[in-house]
Amino acid sequence: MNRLPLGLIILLVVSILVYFGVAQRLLDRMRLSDKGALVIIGALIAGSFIDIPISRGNIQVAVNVGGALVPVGLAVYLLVKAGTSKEWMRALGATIITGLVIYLAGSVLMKGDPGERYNLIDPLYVYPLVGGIVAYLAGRSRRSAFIAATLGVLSLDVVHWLWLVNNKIPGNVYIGGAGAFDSIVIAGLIAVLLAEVIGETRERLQGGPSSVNRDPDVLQNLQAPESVRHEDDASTTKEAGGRGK
Amino acid sequence: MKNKSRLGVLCGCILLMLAGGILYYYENNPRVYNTVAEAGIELNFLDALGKWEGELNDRKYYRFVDETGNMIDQTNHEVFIGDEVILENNNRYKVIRVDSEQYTAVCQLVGQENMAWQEDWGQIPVLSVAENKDKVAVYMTHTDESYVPSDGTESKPGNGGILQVGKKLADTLENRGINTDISWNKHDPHDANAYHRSRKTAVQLLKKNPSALIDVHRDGVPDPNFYKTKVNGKPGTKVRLVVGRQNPHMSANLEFAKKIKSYFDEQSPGLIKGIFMAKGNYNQDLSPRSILIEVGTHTNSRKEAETGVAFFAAGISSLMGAADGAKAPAVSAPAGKTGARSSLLWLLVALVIGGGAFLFITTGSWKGSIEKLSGLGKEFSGNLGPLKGRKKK
Repeated sequence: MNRLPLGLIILLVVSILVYFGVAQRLLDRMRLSDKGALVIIGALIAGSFIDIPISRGNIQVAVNVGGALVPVGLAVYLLVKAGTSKEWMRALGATIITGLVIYLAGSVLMKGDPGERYNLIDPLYVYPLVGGIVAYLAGRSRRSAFIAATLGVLSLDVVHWLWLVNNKIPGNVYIGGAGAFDSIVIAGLIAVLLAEVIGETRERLQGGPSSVNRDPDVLQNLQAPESVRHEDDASTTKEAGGRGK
Repeated sequence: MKNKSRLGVLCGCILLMLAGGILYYYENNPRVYNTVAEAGIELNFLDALGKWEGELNDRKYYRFVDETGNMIDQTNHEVFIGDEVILENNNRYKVIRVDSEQYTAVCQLVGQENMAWQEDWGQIPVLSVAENKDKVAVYMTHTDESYVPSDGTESKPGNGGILQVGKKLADTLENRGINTDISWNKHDPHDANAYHRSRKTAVQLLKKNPSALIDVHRDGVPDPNFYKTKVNGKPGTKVRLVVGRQNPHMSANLEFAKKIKSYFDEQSPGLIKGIFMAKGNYNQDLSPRSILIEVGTHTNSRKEAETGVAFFAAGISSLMGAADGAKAPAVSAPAGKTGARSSLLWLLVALVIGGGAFLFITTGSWKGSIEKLSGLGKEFSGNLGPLKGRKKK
């Protein structure tokens, strides 16, 4: 066993606890229960250690369970559960735009050399910023932000695969290969945080969620779940903002 | 009423975007920035995480001069008033005036960075090792980077000269008794998204629990003499250490970089070109012992780079207490603590401020925030939340 200084061990443990703690709270903001969010966190961690090969030969492609299958599965689940077909279209549109913008930002604008002109923010943080903002503008939805950011970043791996094939360069593509710490997962989480902060701030500014010209189903979903209402009637309006979209 | 508030929010958003655009233009354009800075106003809203530079074209480069006019450094990046450089001799300078016609940056001495090698670090390995399990992991994010005099071009996608330099680093470490994992994963094309691809490589390597993680690069400064040096009488290149500023482990990684530099300053002065605290993350959030190295520049020969990196590897193995096959006892390095402590502090401060702000926004008041916090335990007490609610509907 390597022995790191105690300070570094504490730093590592706290970093990991903070990361997964914040992740659990963010997953909880989508259509997931507390337990559901915990199960997803567990699947992210356990899945990080499982790579499923899908193509061998000169260009080897593998999909990581924690870094790709779990977040994509969650994105698909959220899409299926989406209230309206409009939300479907918005989420998918936001995904395509996110994929395009992050490809252009990371591949054309930024070259990744330390000290270059456009390297204002690391690409790792550009992905969720783009995904979150695009999805929010398209559908003002946290779930949509998660879907756009995860699937958008995943498309970068697919582009890399195509690039290797096109240029006949032997190599590996590990889709979601960094597991729970993959850019795919981080992008999804930060995008939800961003949508949450923008959304809550906006709703607070306008004094509650908008109810004019909206689908009755959506309005019904904007209400707090019954279990919460029973427990605490007074907090209904507060919860409506948080649990709704 | 609702329309009015919507209009207000819309106007607010447009104003914000406009202000952001102006700020971006101002902070992005050295002439505008420096003219305003001369009037005594320096704004760095977009850049709270560190100074940044843009590369210059047409082989132009800035000369850094001290107040008496002596040249102290050079760069092919844009220079901004307020930029800081830490030189090889650990002197830290701040840019106080920029002449964009003459490409000259006048600097004022801030002081000397305290990174002297301490005698007792020699007795205990800086990277603690035990039971022959010490490991270093090596990878190359920009696998196309090449050296023009040897490789004929500066970029060979999938097969750059940098792979040989990485191999030399790994082989030398291995020969000196350090188990070294090197990854040959390709991350082309050469762009910023390459870090998204190499992140997977870094995590794969970290699963084997290495003591240090090294990402090998070469620089893009046109002047070959900028990195040229003599290593044991043979022509070689210097090595620049790069620490990404945009991650929670920045302090710990900077501490690590300073220690490497102080070791070489003691053992073989001049090999380390300095420490560049760059914008970006460079996947250094994954480990508090990760470093990016620039081995020479594209106008140096690959042979020179290999000589430089071999010397660097020999030093790293000594830092790990594994030089000449001798295993030092596993003792924690005393100086690793300050960086870790500072990183930890930043992480916790960010958590408290971020979490507090988030609670305030979602509940709308401090009272609500405190209520929500005290109700945290209740949320885990077994209700199925929204799922249950929907089913009943």
